[in-house]
Amino acid sequence: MGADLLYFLALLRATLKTTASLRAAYVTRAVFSVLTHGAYLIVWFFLFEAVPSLGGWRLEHVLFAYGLTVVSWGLLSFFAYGLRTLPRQIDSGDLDSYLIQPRPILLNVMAGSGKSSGLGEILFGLVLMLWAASKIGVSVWVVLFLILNGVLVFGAMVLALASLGFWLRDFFDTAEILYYSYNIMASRPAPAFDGIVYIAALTIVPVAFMTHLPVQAVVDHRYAAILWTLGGTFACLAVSYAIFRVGLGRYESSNRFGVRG
Amino acid sequence: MSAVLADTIQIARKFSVFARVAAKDAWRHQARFLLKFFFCILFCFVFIEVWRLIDREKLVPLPWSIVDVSWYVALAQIMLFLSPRLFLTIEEDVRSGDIACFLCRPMSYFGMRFAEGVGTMLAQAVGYFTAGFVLLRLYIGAWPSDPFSLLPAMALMIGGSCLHILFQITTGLTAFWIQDADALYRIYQKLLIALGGIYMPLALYPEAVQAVSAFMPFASIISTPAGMVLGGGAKALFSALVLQIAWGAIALAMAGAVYRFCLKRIEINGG
Repeated sequence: MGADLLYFLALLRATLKTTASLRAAYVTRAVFSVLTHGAYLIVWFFLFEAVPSLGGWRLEHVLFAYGLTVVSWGLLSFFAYGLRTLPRQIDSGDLDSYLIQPRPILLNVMAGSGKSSGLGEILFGLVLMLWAASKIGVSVWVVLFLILNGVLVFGAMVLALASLGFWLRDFFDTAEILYYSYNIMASRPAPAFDGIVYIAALTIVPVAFMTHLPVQAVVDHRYAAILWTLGGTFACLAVSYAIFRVGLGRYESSNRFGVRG
Repeated sequence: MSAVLADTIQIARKFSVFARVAAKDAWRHQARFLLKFFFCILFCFVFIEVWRLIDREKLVPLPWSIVDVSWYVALAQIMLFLSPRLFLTIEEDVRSGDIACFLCRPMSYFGMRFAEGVGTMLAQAVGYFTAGFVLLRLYIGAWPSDPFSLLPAMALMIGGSCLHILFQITTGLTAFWIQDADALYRIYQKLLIALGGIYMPLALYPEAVQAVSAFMPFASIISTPAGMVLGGGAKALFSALVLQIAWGAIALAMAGAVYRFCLKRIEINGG
């Protein structure tokens, strides 16, 4: 376990070194990312200028949920960008080299892509969440707990969707749309999820465990919601890992020529 | 003159082959399409519920019926899912060096990717405009107050998607400079969402923002096509068409200029 952690850190260090070689582009992207998320918030300000509350969710609640989804996206892209590119790694046969290494395959998939992004999202999401948390009256520790939970649920969903690449060829473009859609859907106010949509939010598209239930828990002090959140997060992780393992069992080596350093 | 015409027909034929192949590919990978379709419809339902909530609690006086607004937000969502993510394909071509193989071919890489994007989009449009509309009808409970407004809306959605593909090509080509076209695409996408009127009709935005968006192409991609279901009739259709054609010409010129500039910059090493 400790050796695996050290290995993961070494992979991460190598990825960050690669990223640092293009630091101007990286910083530019981070700055633009902050600006665009800021521009996007305008929509919510317009909406809540006209509508004071949506089923009990006020502007600060929506911004808290939005910040949580943005920071989750950022952290996943920063520490485990490879999860997002899993369908491409499957298509190009990159898993071949991982299969012969005495390290967990998932660890290599997560951190072995040599790419990292998301710094802008992390900064923007954190600032937004902390601002919204101060309005709602949520402590920093609770914010950190919710971020950890959010990253785990989002990571589980990305892993589950990306693992479909074991069955579907040329799936990367579609997978990116699905990750993004899931992330955006998680930032929508919980009262908008009604009837069959609510059932979907608890099962096949489990956005409820990422934002809705945690926000409900901290806003209404409903501690049962915390238990539901933890149970849901655990279930998401277990199911997505099971999908990955089943998919990995189907993996066939690619004949695409490539060189690995 | 006839030689120019013959050349043009030949080029159009060549690109139509790429569009056909891309459309067939999209149809063959039904599971891929169904996943996207499922997410899109779910998104539509969520936004319909947001507006039902606003209408139920009488938070904003809506100048249209809730049924028409529901159709508007649903069509606006479909617009985001209708086109393929062409910028990722272009980015991968640049990063992997595959672009070197495409540039050797006796045809424009830009035209080829555009044709593929349009082919995929048209194949997907069949699914969204049939099964998607039926599911929306069942969920919303009624067709728009003028059901025939869906016809011009569909035509403008196709036009808007072509515009969207052109902007995607432009953002994809930035991979020549910054390696990662995703960053610029996200900026474009957020502006599209904010100023295109995806979450609510532009008429509900503050006047200053409406004035700004009038000079932007985003409304021609999202708001104007989806807005057909909110009324306006032939006059609105005519002005929407004129605007779309104008923005199409500008987007084409811009993408073409970026593409030509990239061709001058490109350096291919090795073999």
